Amino acid sequence: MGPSVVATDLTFRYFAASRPVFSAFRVNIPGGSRCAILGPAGAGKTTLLEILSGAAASHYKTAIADGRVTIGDKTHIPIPHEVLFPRVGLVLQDPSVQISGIRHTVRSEIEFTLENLGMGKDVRAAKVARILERFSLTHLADRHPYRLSGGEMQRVALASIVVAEPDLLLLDEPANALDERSRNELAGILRSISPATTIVFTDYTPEFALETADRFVLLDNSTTRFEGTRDEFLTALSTFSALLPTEGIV
Amino acid sequence: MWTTIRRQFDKEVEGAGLPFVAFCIALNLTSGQLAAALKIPLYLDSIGTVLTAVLCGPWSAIVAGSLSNILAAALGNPAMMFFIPVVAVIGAFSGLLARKGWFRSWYLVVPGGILQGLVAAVVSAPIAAFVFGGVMLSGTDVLVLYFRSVGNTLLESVFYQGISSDPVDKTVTYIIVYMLCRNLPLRLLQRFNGGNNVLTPAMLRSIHGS
Amino acid sequence: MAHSINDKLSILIFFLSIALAGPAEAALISVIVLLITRALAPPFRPLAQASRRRFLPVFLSLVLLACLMTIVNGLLLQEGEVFTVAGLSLYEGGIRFGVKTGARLLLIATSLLVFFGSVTIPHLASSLQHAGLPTQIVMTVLLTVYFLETIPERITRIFSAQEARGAPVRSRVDRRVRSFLSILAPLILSGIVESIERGTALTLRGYRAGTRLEFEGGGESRLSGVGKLFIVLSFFVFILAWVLP
Repeated sequence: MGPSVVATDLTFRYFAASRPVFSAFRVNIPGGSRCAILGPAGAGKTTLLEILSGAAASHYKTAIADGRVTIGDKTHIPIPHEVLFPRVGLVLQDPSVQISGIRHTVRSEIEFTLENLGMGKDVRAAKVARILERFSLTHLADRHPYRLSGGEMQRVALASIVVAEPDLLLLDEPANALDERSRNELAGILRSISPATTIVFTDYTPEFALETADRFVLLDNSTTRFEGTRDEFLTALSTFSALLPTEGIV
Repeated sequence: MWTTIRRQFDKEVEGAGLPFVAFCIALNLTSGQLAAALKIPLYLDSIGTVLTAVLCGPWSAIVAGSLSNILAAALGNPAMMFFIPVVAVIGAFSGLLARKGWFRSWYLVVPGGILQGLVAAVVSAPIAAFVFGGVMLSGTDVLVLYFRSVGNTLLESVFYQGISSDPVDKTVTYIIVYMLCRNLPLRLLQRFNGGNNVLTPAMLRSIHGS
Repeated sequence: MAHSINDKLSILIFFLSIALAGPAEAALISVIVLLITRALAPPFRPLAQASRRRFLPVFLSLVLLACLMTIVNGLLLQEGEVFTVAGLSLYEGGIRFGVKTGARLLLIATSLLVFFGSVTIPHLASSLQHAGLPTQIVMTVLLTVYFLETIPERITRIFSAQEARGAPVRSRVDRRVRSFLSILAPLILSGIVESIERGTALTLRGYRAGTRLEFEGGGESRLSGVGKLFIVLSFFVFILAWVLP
């Protein structure tokens, strides 16, 4: 079972920002769940993922952070001090930024992650071959990572994180900007990941989340407006029409 | 010694630094071409180096300058290889000025640029004289010829040519970098090791007070 | 022979040592040898179409530069006998100095041109990493190549936006400087934003200062017997130049 994620009394304020992103914020994500964090733009979704992955630590010198974040059995006070990769993996919203730009094939792009982790050549090759297969990327293995469609590039970005086998996988608006087919492929890939990995992803519309998630969190203005199961979310959905585009679902 | 330098470099480029240094090198290689395309009579090919010096630090600026010239040579301009000492000195000098706070106000930026131009002229003169015999196949050759024809030695002539063009070029470069850094959003500025090279005490006070 | 990049590097060092320590005649002969090698030996042929196209104009401008250096020094360096060519009074000492510096420059520049034309930058970076160059520097070079590939496209995008708004491209200097800045400022701002994102993305994939990088198609960086021979020859050139008057 993947690790649970608990944040309590979380306060976070960027350098020179007029107001904090979070103040006295709390969230509880059960281990092994597929949790969707929904909310309108500016609700704090990306910042939450950055805090959980440790990427927010690069702001640490100047940001104001307080509270505690517990991932599995490890508590970080106030927030993780450094990037927690490979235990926690974050897939950024824009796959073209996540792709390193220094590799010429999809294969070696994914392998780059494992080189950073200091793995040997044979182990790397085996792991990369397996992930290419799982993500239906084998036929693209020798293509240049920047000469792919949006959906394919998204899969490469995802594969380059999942190949490190994180316990907690975070995805920032993965379904955003994908066409119908690529979204279905992505949903299939997320379903294929075992419950030994907890998955948390963000979105500003509920459709993709309703296909893939079993746990729902609704953020608005940096506070949790809703936290619960899929059924509870569906029951309450009609009351969220001010925050989420719910036409055609409710 | 190498380990110390490497550690200094790593510290300067912590976080956003490494891709930024790379971007600045690419900027060096293109801003000069852009200036030439717009027929601006200045080199303006060290904006990236000075920007690195201010936002990261002197060691990364030395790296940025040197790599810029090596890559320029690799991309078809072998003469640039000889001027690596000049760009390294530009990087180090502007990095040190930035640390001393010379990029916090315009009335220090202008004399800083002039000083930088003089330093660059001193370092490049012997290279231009002894490697190139004072001929660079550019408009400034006329000046060198003039200075030589009125009785100066080769080295003197190249140096006079240098101090007649470098201070202007470097002052404009410094002003451009200063204006860019001043207009940078604070949330971006604070991601760099050298953010404090630009922030004035008054600005810091107003941020912490808010 | 000389397929590995280190072999090419040792041959480059050999020619540079001739340029620095050898006489003008040797330098000029070396330039011709280099031109023949470039034309006939496959490992020294230019890899990219662009470097093939650029070679001749750059080489010819270097020859022109060397000729100009000779004439200028002949006119201005007033040493030795005077002789008149096409109405110009040239001094023998000046011509000698001009030929020497010109030939030296021509050899250094040509060998660099041939060397850089026959290797790719990532390949060079890989070889230098093997030779002990810090991986941070190698990483910087590779990222620079990425940015270099994308910057022209960004400039075109900004440029066309500027022209649509009527930015003056062919007018007075101050307006041209202004349009230079109106391209540069958004270019640098986007570069800074992207650098920050890329820096974060790299750490999110486990990159740390000192991570050793692997290279696609790397591994042919050993120094063969030929390479070693050229290193020895380079030392020999310096010793010869020192011993001979």
